[in-house]
Amino acid sequence: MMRSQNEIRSTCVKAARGAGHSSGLADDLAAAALWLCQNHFDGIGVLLAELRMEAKQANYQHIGGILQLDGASAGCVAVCAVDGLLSGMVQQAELKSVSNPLMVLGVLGTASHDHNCAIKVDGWAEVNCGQVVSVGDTPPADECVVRLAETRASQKATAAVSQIDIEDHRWSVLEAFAARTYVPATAQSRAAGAGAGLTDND
Amino acid sequence: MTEQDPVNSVFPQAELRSPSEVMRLRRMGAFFPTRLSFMRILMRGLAEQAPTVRQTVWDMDGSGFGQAVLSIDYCGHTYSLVAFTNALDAGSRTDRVIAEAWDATFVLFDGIPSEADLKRNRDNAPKQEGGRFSDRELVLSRANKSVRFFEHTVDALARGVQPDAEMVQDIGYLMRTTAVYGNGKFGIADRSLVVNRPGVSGPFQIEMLTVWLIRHFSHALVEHVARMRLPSTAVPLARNLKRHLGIGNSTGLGMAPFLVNHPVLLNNWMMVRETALARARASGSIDVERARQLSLRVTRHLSEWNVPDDNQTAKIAQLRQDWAELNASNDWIDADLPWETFFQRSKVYGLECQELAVAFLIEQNGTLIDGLADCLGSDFSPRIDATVSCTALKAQIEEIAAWALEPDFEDKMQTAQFWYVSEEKLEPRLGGRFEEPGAELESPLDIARQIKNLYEGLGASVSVAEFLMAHPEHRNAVRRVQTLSKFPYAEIQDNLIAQDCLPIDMLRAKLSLFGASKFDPKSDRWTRITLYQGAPLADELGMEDADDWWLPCFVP
Repeated sequence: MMRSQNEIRSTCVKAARGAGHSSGLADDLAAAALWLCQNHFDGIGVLLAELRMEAKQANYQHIGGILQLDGASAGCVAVCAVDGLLSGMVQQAELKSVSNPLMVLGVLGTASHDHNCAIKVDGWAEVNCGQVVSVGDTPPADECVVRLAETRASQKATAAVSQIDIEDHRWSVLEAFAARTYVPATAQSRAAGAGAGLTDND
Repeated sequence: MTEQDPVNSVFPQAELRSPSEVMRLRRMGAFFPTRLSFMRILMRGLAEQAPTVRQTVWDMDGSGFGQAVLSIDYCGHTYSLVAFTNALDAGSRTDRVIAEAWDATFVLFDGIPSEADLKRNRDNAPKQEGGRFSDRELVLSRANKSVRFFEHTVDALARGVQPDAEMVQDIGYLMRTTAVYGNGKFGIADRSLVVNRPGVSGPFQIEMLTVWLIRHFSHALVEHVARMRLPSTAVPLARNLKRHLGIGNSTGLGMAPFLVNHPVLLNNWMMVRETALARARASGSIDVERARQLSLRVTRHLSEWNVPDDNQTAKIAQLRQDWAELNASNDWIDADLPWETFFQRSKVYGLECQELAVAFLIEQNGTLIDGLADCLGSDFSPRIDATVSCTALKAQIEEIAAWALEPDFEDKMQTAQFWYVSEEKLEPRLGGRFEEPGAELESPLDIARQIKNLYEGLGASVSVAEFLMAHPEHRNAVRRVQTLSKFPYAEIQDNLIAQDCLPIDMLRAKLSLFGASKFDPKSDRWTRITLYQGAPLADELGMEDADDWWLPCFVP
């Protein structure tokens, strides 16, 4: 079914929170999923793979300008990698046990848009100011190295205005994750809602 | 006086009021509409173009049930309000979000709908949240009649007389909307579709256009039903009554999270408002007769603002007294800076009077400030600057977010409430943390608590990048603080989960930015208002005074 981009993003945020991610990280994962959808990748499928993994923080260490990250889902380690690279803390980030590399691409794509920079995954993909420069056919199987690349003058990608077709079964799973953040209604909560306690036949 | 340049101003301006003064719930809960409110901006645009509203479809039976399409050509695009009306049992008529049926449902269609588009909308619009829409639909809305007043008006018009003027004045609308959805909800078009369109590019302009057309529809509908009832004697609504009949609205908690979830937009709206005030204060120019007339209009408007709520009634009574005292002497008009003098004098009165004075100043300096309407929107996404050190971030919090450090969150009073999304139609609600279930699922609107937790968790020697690797739970708070450092009006500087947090203050702030007046609170978490009361009718757009409807008064 066709979904609006705002619908996709807001549902992804709730789904990521429902999967146990903090609100700040949920925003990043949702932005990455939408960026993937806008660039004709299966952003929802990629996000769902991310959400099925345990939400936990990455293990990290940095030695000699290299940041090593593992122990968490691809989105989580990619967010850390971006922070490390953009802060100047390290020159490259090594991501271990990456089973969902397209999520890494989504995070890098969003970051390159927000920060007007270029980032690449050695031997696989490069993004520049929110646009895909190149993506190889074979994503990294387990590990990848991420680093900043030379930023080129580029007109920023503007979000496509058209809606995006999301398979219904995927959307249902996404909504199920989102529903974990909803509170069951009670008589007390219903009574305190807007419009309560007044006749509307006036 | 200083000259600042927050929005590339070339106009002299006074120093902006500080965010710590402005961004407090109690003050925001005293805001009034201004000429930079979204409805006023839309109507100025419409008045410039004076487009015609055309009834392209009017397929209504004698009871006013059926479908209609009203189309308008505006700034190079055609927009059509598609309306569906039906009979509704009294037992089903509720303004609650959890309602399942309404007297009328609407979409704003992009262009002129084909028969197939009409059928698709006829199948879906009455279901509202249960329907699916396409990017040809820009806005989705629904409304209920003010049943007794609608019937009274039909009955009167059918008999050839006008409805009771006192009822028109007291009620003020034939229909009230219970939701106006935009920006991609339920599959309608994303805002990005219209964001570059002249006339509707600003925040909520497309939604406000929809509501104005719904008002026009409500007038046409009541006249239609009267005409069908007694064709030989029926008369149209008198122009003065029609102009006073706006669109009612029931607004609940859904509005409140928007202000928190869109910090950059909130900043821009407030920055524009405060810049407008600062420019007005610095102006030495005054039209004395205009000021006198507007002051009298305010007095009259306040006399017509009567609500059942005891708390609001007391505030209005105090406001009437304060306004009378503030305007008792008019020697301020002879000062070198008359507006600054008036503004300074207002400061000794209550918050309602202070904020009314702000809107009064803004109203009379349109040539200085109307261009600020172009600064209300934003496509900036808050982001994290990982280059700073934790030490610097901590100092930043102390400097710009000290308000977040004040509450003692160990005190139950400071965490007494929690915001959440109910599984019932995903309605945003506010619960009692220690009395109701669900606090573990609370929505992250506890900004002050998040910032304080961040502050207390910040180490001294590492970068924010490394800190967030070890503490990803603080990611949202870091983003908020860093956004606040660039956008000083981005945060409501109060604890939104405290026992004394009243959501009605947030609702009034946002509704005033829309342009609503005559706030009629029904509890501390929802209110009725009237939109477009006094606004030009469709055939009045070209009038010279089409923009002169701030704080309207009833004209008998």
